[in-house]
Amino acid sequence: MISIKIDTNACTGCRFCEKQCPTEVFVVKNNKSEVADIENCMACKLCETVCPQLGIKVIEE
Amino acid sequence: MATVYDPIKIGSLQLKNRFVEAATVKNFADVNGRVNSRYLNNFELEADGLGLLIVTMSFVEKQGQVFRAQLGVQDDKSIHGLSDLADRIHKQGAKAALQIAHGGNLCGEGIIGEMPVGPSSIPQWPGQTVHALTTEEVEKIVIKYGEAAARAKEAGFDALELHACHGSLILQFLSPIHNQGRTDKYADPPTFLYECIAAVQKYAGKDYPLGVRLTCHEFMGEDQGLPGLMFEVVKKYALNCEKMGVHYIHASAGRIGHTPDHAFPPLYTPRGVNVKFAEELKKILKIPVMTVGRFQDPILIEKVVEDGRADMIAMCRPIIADPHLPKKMIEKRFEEIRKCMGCNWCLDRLFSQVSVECPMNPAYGWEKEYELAAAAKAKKVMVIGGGVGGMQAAYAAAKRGHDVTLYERTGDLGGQVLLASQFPRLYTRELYNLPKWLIRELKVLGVKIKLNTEVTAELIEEGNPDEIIVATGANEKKIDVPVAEGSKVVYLWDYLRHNAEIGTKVVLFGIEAIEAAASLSKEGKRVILLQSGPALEWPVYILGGAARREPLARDLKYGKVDIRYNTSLKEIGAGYVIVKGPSGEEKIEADTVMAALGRESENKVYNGINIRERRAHIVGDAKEVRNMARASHEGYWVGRKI
Repeated sequence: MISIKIDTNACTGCRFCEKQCPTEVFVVKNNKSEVADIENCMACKLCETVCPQLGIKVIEE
Repeated sequence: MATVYDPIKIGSLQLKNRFVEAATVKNFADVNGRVNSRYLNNFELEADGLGLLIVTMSFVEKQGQVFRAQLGVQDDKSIHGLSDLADRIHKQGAKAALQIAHGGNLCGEGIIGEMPVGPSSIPQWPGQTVHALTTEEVEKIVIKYGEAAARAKEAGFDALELHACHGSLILQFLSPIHNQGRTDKYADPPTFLYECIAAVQKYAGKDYPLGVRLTCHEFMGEDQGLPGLMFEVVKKYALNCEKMGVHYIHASAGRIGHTPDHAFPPLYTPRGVNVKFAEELKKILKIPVMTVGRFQDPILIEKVVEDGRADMIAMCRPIIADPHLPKKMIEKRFEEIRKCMGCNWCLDRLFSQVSVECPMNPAYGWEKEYELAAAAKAKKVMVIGGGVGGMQAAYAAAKRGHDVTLYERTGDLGGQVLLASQFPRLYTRELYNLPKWLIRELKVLGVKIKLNTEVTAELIEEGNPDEIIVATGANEKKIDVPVAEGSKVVYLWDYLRHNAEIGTKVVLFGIEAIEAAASLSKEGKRVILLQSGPALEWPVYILGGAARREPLARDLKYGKVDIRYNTSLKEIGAGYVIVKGPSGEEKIEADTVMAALGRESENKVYNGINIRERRAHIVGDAKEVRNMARASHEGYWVGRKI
């Protein structure tokens, strides 16, 4: 089970996560990143390292 | 909508699915490049589940041999071994292709016994002397390609792939960096490629399924200032290949020795890096397009084909890490896949001219010898330490039927590999793939795991194990310079545990500081990196042949890390440091000093065991500080032997 926590207060809508995710998990709406398709997430955790705010956490349970 | 599980045709050849093993140089042969039982056993395992297995880059003549123990298709004597190999692959249900190449100026005089050749005398690397091929000499090599294709066909291979990537002779002709100063027909970059295609077609027939593996972009701008071969040009070449009757294009990138991180993208790189090229090629080509590069995850593999961005998925390192990857995907056992972490230990081994190994798959290349046979007698085994060395030992021992209990001092398994995967802004997360896979296996095997448990002499007495495996790893070395009160010193491992508070002006020192410098610079810090010698000091786990130094060096450059060479730290004060460099002592403002001094073995537990009374083994960094591959292999070795 994979879930993604986005710190929406920190999110600036820079789209780094949206652009760099290899499987198009994120979409930015109203300047905030959202998880559009969690089924596509392979927990590679690239998003954790590209978010300039360090505001994304991928949780695997 | 096609899926990776669907059949596909390349020319007249029907493949049962779109899983492809990319040609993987293994360095298992002898000096003559002959097939032996290592290849047969290895490919037998890997072929199971694949649609197409492209057998390793094989040299068309001795003058083109790049690796000491590479496979060869250089003479008719190679045919019988290759025939055994093709037969073995067929019996496993896969189709077999052979990749052929001439290494040109990638070759070394020590291996080929003569001066390497190239399109010009421009060396591949400094200090190399290269013979610029005459027109007649190139024409002779073209014939060698044709003859090699005929041998592959005679040996029973279903298809052939031309290596026109990563720096071999065809790429040397295609590349504006090497193809300079010629006045003959080969001055036109693709002539040599097209003549090789025509030669294959002449010697093996136009219907013989043929693919071309292309470097779509050399990215040489990152290395030499000029871009080298670029994708817009490669697209034209690919179109012409199709017109000439080539049956598929295989999209890769990069160049050995210069931009190897594009040819063999390491862990710092996102998954599926070359899909962008395949996608563009598919828009202009009718023949199937295959791509390669960081495909270790079933979700990505499925999605790229389903989205129509590539027709076939080729894998090299993911198959090394888990030869059962395609089979596990077909059987929907995704969670069992041991996903390649891109550490590139395999490539460092290859470029050191020795057999390829994998930290994740200790039995790689020794499939029969290293099989985990059931133990004659089930023993009680105590493993001390939950890093990859300890877990690998526990896995091998438990798999053989031993009763294993693993003790870990902290609350998490994974040891230093877990830590190394945690750089905040440098992508190393996938290093955790190995601990993650081992943790799952240990649970499946019923290994008892005791976290937060320090092993004492009493605990050993109480447990009374038949065998003890000590894998207690290492500790960080502590600083030995004066530290003033009020100064802020943090250690690398605290940064990796995400519990170090770091200011905006950081001074880093020590032999393991480079990755941290890259990560901190991406966090927007002002980073000063002290290096005691005249060049960058690489930690023992960032190996020269592993394509990891180039991207890191670039990160330091783009991150404007101020590297001070021949400089050592003298004193740490409150808000500053005193360093001694080539121009004497200097005071540098620093609100944080990060120490990454390397590691020293933690072997107290082992030293406390009376080895006259107890059977004890020591593995990994506890024995001697090295890298994760050594820890993993030693753990597996002991687990297999006890």
